[in-house]
Amino acid sequence: MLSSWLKRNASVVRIESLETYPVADISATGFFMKRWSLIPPKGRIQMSVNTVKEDELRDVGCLRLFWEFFKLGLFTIGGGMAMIPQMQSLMVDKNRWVTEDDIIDCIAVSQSLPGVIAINMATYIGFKKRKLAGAVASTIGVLLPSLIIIIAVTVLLRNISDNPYVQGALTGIEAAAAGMIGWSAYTIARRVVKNVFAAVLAIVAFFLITFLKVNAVWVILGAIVLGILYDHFTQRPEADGKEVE
Amino acid sequence: MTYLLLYIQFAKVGLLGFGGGLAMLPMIYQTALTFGAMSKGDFSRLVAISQMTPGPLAVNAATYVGFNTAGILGAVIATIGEATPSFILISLVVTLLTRFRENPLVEGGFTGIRPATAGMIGSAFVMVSESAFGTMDPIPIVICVVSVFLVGKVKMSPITIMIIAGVAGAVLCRP
Repeated sequence: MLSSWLKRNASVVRIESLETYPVADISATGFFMKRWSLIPPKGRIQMSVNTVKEDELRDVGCLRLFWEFFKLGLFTIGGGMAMIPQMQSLMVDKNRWVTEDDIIDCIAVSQSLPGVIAINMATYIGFKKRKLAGAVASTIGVLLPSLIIIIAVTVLLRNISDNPYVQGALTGIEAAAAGMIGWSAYTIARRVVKNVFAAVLAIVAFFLITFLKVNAVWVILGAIVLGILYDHFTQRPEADGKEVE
Repeated sequence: MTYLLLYIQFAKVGLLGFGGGLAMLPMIYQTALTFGAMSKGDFSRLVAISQMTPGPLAVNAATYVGFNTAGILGAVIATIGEATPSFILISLVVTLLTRFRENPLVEGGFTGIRPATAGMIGSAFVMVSESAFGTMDPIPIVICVVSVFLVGKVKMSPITIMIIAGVAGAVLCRP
């Protein structure tokens, strides 16, 4: 198992080694966490010194799960990876609901599966503690803040969007958002484009969606097939004796 | 009928959305278009607002599209739709599989998905830019360039940048 290996071999685990793909790190929460040194720089998770063992785990009810994930959803700006440090300190160090291994598995699985990472993580932890009921409670908890806030903001904007100052401010915010998205596209491209295959695939995906308006669903499915074929034809010889370590 | 469509369309987004919020945006935008409830301008405005409000970007986007299409119930249904595939897949993985990441098919799939993710974020950038710079007014372009500098080189918090950009826009970009 991935996590037990990590545990045996390292007290500090690099998130990057768990990442299936880099996730845009432009979230404000992530930034503040780094600034306050709650997580060390360069995406490291500090494993806590007091290891929680399986038999020391405490039980937790669905209502509590709901409430804790509600707070995580409420205070996590940017979502996904930004949730990890708070989740770890809350669930492992403070309340002993899950072990570090569980958190590491949770990150790995949540990133590998499709869907919103924050939802995946909430479902994972909820299911681990209270099966289906827990998964439902945690997921609703993490979703609810977005739901309420976005509806409120939308209604509010409908009423004030004629105001020229509001329109100007929105234009400015949009321009800044464009800049930040462009920056994150650049940083992610720099990390994932490591060979000609990846470069061509990234460019083709960009063109198909942006200019030919091809449905992104087909682009994803095509990329999966091409990736499997590429791996199949390039890594055939060592495929059997794969080193896990 | 609209509710059912919202549910199915967003379940599709949840099922095939890899790479986190930004990479999922083009897919969500294409979904929004099928409902005809919003323009490109509306959508990029939503993206901008989502960067400042709590919650995952993809959830915010689903809520917004659902709300604009069919009110509060629409928002709830779109959001639940997006969460459903996660729910089923994660529950299955927690109970059944522990080694699925070492499966060569899964690994191969990610060899393809990773670069495609970069392409899709690039596409999201064009989408938001088209709306922000549509008028060819130089000020939004300057704000954009400055914010790239602030986020990339100065490492300023995105929230701070958004607030600065909002104030600058209110003063300089008034129609």
